[in-house]
Amino acid sequence: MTRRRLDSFNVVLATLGGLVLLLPLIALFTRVPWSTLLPRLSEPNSVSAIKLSVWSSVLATVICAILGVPLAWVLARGNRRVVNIVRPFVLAPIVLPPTVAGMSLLALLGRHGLIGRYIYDATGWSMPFTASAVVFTGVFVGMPFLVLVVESTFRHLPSDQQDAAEIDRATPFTMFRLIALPQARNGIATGALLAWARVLGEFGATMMFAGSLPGLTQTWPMQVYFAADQDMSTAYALSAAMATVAVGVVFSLRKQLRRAFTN
Amino acid sequence: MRRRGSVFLVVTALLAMTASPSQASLHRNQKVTLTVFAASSLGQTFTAIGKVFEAKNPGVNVEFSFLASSTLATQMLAGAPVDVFASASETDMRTVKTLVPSSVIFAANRVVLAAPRDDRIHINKIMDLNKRGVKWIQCAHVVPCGAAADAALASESRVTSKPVSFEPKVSSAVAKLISGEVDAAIIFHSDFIANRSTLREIRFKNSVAATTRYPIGVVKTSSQQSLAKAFVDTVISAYGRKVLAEAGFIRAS
Repeated sequence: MTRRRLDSFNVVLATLGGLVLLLPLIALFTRVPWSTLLPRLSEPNSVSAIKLSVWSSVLATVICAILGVPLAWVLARGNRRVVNIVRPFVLAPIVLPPTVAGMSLLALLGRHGLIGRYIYDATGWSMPFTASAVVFTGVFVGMPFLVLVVESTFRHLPSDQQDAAEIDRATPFTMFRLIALPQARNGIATGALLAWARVLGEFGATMMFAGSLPGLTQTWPMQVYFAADQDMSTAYALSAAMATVAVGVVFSLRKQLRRAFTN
Repeated sequence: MRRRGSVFLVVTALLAMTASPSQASLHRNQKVTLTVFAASSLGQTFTAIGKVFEAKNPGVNVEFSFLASSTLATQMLAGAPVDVFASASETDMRTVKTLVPSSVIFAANRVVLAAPRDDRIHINKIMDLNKRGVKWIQCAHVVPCGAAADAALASESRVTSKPVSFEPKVSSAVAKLISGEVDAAIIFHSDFIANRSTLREIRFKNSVAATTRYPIGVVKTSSQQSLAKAFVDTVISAYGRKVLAEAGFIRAS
């Protein structure tokens, strides 16, 4: 491939754009208290927040995959007109402000929520302020990312094997299970990792819907928020650790992401 | 007319970024903005006081940021442009001592346990927090209403249950209580007064432990020292004290 020359107009603006994205991250790492990094990250509150964030985001991602892969399959194979109407709603949580996501979840599952009131009246249990609320929020904000990537993958699978299976009268489910699923495994992994990273970083909706209790609902990003009011160095340490995970995810996915979004 | 006004604002804003102060002051008819950082619990009272202050000082526009005092203090240390800081605790005022060298206590407030009037699980005494299935919340330890709640609870020494959430500011706790998501919340007496029609309050025995004092002061780096001072004077004036007293704040000694 021959490389074409670039004009200076785009290079200058691109450099500025790149700096806007890069400098804050660099600045973050200049404020990390390196000599006390480990003790700060191993404070009981930090540890419990990191633990909670890790297990709840992994669980949420698994649920995202169990529900999201079939959803992506239906979107990829379903009636085109119906799908075009449904898809924007499936992807909406990506652009929903976290506070609005939090309000929506409260409206659904709060004690006086659309569904929540019946659960509360029948059992006395309501989801807000529980670890389930953390996981549920994660599923809500994470699944659209998985669906986005996996649907695109399903749409671009080579059709020869599926054609062959059709001739052999494979049932639709067998086709999905034995052909599409294995073929799409890279896309599913990419979508899941992306969803997981989004869930791990979730803050606003979780704080509104799940509250903030150390060990139960106080996640890693929330711990950053509260630490910033008390001890900036700990907040920077926790932030840098989080940023490292985020950059690591994007870095490990750089090839797949390019493929998923250019398809 | 409206459109020309907004264009003018944008242009002056752009000019203000480049112009020196003397040039900026040429626009005399332009509105002056006074930025006040105030504790979350001061939302209603300070909004009312701000309206009166604006009426008394034509051309002045008071902008408030109501958040947890600890959050506001953090923002100030990070360089937020503020003229006046009103904190719900002396601790947070001490945090910004370099920025607000002198302050005056203008009110006090005490935390109470509040519950909805029509609650499903009846909460009539502090001990009822231990009842099975009671979901209650308080503010985070670093936030003034949380620090006061910690002290008040410690003095009771009988509450063995834990809150289901430590809220980032008292107004979040109040909102969750009023919306019925929790059975009880430790909020300020002034928050209870503002929602008297729907809430009941249960007081802590040790009122000293439950009390926090509110200091206010002019920020040293403010470019509007006299205006900022005038706002502080309005808060501590007989009028300001009346507004605060009616809202359930305790007169500061």
